[in-house]
Amino acid sequence: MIKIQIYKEFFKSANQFYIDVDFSLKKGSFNALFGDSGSGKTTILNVIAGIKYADRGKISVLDNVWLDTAAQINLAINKRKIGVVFQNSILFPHLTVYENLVFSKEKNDALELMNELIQLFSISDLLKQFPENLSGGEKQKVAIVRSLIRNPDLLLLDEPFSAVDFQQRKELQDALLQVHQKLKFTALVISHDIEEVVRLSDNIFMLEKGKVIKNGPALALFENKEEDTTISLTGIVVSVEQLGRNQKIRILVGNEIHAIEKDNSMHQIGDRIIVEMKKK
Amino acid sequence: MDFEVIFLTLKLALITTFILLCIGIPLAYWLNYSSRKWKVWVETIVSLPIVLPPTVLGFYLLFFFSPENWLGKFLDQYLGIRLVFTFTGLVIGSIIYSFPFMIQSIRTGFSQIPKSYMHEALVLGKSKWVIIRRILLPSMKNSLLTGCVLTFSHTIGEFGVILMIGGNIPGETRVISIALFDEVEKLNYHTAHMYSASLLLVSFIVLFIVYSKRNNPFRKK
Repeated sequence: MIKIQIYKEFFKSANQFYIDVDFSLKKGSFNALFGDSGSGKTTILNVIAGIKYADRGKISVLDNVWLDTAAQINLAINKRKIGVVFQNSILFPHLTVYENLVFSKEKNDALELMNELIQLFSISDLLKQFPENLSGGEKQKVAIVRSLIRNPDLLLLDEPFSAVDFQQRKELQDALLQVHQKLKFTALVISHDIEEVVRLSDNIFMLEKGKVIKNGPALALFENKEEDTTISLTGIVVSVEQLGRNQKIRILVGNEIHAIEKDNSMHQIGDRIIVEMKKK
Repeated sequence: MDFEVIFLTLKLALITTFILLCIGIPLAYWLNYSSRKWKVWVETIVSLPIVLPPTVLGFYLLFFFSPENWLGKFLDQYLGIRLVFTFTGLVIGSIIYSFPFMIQSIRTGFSQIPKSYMHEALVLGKSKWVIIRRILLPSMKNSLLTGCVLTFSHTIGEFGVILMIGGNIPGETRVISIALFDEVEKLNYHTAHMYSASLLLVSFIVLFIVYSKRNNPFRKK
């Protein structure tokens, strides 16, 4: 379990803002912090990463305390076992893609994980390239792989796909979900894109003016959508009934189970799949 | 032309450049990233040699390093180090005189690297030392080169500080600029021309290297 309590006051354009949040992330879950611009998402991410300080707060990740202002504990950024993918991640320009990846590797046994991630994100053709020759989407792919090589206790993603085009965004989201299903890391994505957070995460924290006003599974947001809106949801397959070449699948989305039929599918129990659903 | 003079000059310039590079990297890093209030004092002291006439600097070094002064006496009597009219004294004087040229060049290099580089590397779990060595320094090769070249050429051409603290002792403190002055005083213009041409050539070559390397600092060749 990852527990996050942050209280922070700050000024922006001569106006006073404050952040006051208290939430927990289950180990292995994919979470989203969703809110409008200026709601405090990036500040929260920066405090969790250790880039910014909190006035008061406590962050404990599994058995480690990263921050406890009462006990005057504030673990240095580089001591936190964390992965961060920024909106425009920087790949070090004097290093090739491969050298960028190796830079984040800590032990020799991470080589296997690195090679696995290279395959999963299909970046083996980019390894000898310098970052200046990569597209925005390719850079983000490499940045995600680089942050996962450390096998972080928590992966933070700050609007990771906002700078890439729609098609690439979908591909990157699929690749990320596939890797999450395989490696089961805990992730927190921050975004103001409702489609993205619903597609990626199984638990959403809605943020407004520095406070979590609502949290729950993706359906919590879906309830606010207008009727007949189609939305992508991530669910976990809980049962499969084979009907010839088709499958009748029951999926757990948030706390609810939905049944769907899929043509020519080969899903198994435990698979994470994305389904298009329409509110009625 | 006395080749010992040229050898001594190059030796002085190389030693000064090497020592200043070693001191300059950590000091410039601190000056760029520190937010201490007393940083301005260090900045001012480091930059003093830019505005001070070399003879003033040379005079103070001569004054403090003289065996008549407490500092010079201490160094001489307890550590056996004499800095006046010795090669070691020339190195110390050259380091102080060229300090701002190395420090400012390296500091400019650090300041041009976005802060996000540091954040990216820190969240990858790297120590500051690893980040400096593997990310920051390779990203500012041009600034390092500029600092080295400026220090080297500045040391080769310095006159006032060297004359004050080193004098004109053959094989010990007689460098090109002093030898040139000496030859002109003797009306030996042929040798003076040779020394002048040597200085001109070295200065041209080092500046040419700096400007030809001033392209994209991040592109690997």
